[in-house]
Amino acid sequence: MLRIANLDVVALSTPGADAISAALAFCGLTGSTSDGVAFSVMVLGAVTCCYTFGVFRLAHRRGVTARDLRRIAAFLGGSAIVLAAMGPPLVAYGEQLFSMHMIQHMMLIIAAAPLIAWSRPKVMFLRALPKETRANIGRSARRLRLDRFMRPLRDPILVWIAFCAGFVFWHTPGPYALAMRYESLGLLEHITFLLTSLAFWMVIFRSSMRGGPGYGAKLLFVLTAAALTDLPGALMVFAPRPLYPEHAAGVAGWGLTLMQDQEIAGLVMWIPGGLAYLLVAAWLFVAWLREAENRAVLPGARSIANVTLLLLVAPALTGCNRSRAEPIANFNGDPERGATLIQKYGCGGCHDIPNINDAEGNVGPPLSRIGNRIYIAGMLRNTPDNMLLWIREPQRIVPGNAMPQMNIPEQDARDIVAYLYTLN
Amino acid sequence: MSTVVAVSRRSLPVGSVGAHAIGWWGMVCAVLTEAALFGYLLFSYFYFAIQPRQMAFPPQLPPLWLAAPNTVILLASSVAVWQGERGARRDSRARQVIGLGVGFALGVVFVGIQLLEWHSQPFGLSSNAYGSLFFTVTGFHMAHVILGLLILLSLTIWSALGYFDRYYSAPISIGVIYWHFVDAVWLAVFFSFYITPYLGLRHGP
Repeated sequence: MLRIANLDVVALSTPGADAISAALAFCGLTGSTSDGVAFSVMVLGAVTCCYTFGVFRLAHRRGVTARDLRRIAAFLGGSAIVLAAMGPPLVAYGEQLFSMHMIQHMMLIIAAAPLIAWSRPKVMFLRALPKETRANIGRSARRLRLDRFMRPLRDPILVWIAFCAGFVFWHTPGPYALAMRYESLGLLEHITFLLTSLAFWMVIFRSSMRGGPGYGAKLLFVLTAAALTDLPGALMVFAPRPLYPEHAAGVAGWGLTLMQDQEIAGLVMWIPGGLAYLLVAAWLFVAWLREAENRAVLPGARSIANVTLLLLVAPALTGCNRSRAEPIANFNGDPERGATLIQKYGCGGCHDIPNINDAEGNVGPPLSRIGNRIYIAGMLRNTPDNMLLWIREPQRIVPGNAMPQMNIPEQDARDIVAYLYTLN
Repeated sequence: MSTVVAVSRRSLPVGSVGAHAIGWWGMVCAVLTEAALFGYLLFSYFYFAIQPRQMAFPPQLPPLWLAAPNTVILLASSVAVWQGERGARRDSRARQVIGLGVGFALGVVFVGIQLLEWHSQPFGLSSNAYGSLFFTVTGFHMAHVILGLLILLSLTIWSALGYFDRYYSAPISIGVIYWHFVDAVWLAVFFSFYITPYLGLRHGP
């Protein structure tokens, strides 16, 4: 017991700790447990009401889709977990047991935060407001250029630093002891975890189409944060001495020793925490592979081509070795007009094209049997719609390639494609 | 009939072009492996810090009067090379040379102060476990700083000779990544060796 008391002095006799305790006592910020709990419950209740109101307005305007329902469930689940983690039974246990305290942290960081981040709370909160207010907010946000101030909240590197720094800081013995001693600091500890982890998960759920990082960067983001935030857990498991002596009185009531409690706490942080990050990393990896697969057909091309593709699939299943005459029947292009257009646009300056006068260019590939080729430009699957897209927007698909952007109208390009598919 | 021939904006480039050139990927991979090395080194420090008390931990808290200003200097050098990189992107050779040059000079100052810091320690590389850890980790970091300084020096000279412009600045971006990495590693080393003892993570008297 003497050992523990000594260590307590060591942990808190650091310069600054005394000053902080004095300042807190001066400000009267040493309230009882019930104050903090009441505060968290009030804030959470208000937030949930806003969200629910937003949902009702949405339902009133355009009905609710299954995806909306999933998001609502995620938000309510996330809020319930926050309430459970910061509510009465767990708070009391968390003051007694270090392991219970770590369970609270894990509930906030890897359960509540991802659910809330995925539920897109911002959209629902804005919906809760009347239409004019929303428009006003949008206008003033633009006028004040609010996005400039919001950008750091979305910057992956800054969010990573804030998340890891907050996590590591509050788990070192000194700040942890202060958070245990002063309830307001304990609340600040949990709010830090909740806010930084919300920002952390929002980076992961932000699609790269909306300016978020790509899948590779997200994987790196998650895995490096996982390695760093697992480290305190590993140290707690391996430590041969109690690092958090504040729980000396609490663990006795549970029939545990400080060391056992600390080892359980370390495992809680290490194993479920690591598993959650690993699952997210696996999900990101699968999504990354799927994206790579989809890249063969451009998103823009796919939406135009949807109907055609449907017609293409049926014959494609019957056999691979077929001519292109069938799909082109549904394509709506005139091959004869296409042949004259090819002369008009001067395609033959660069390409060797069969049956076109003077088409003997040696810059691009020869277009003989182009109807049977597998790829266009080495990356697009050879479908009429992809060919159409390639002829109209070659610089958008492969910026900087030698094929010039000719601004060919769509019908002209359709006719050219129709001619090209006669070459099989 | 006219013949369309596509020609690049300038004469054909030599070496890596564009932001994500092969050298960029090489540097990112090098940074990742080196980061893993420092991860292991710092973990071994923390493993030492959680051991039972009175195991060769210095009795007094680490003095910050050299290390803290030195950290600011290294951070400032990162800002300087970042400005140099922006100068290259905007075709401003003066800004490019000044940014990289100031970054190099601040790096040299860092090395000087770090040598003073080493000299002022009451323990040596072989006096105890703490000394070995301290000099191994800061020594490894110093080796990386010196390599970074060589990179910055070459980039400064090449910039002054006008090797880089808006279209061809990949070497600057790649070198700057390494310097930012050296800076980030120092922040981690500084936090571990100089800050965590103040946060209660150290052996008792």
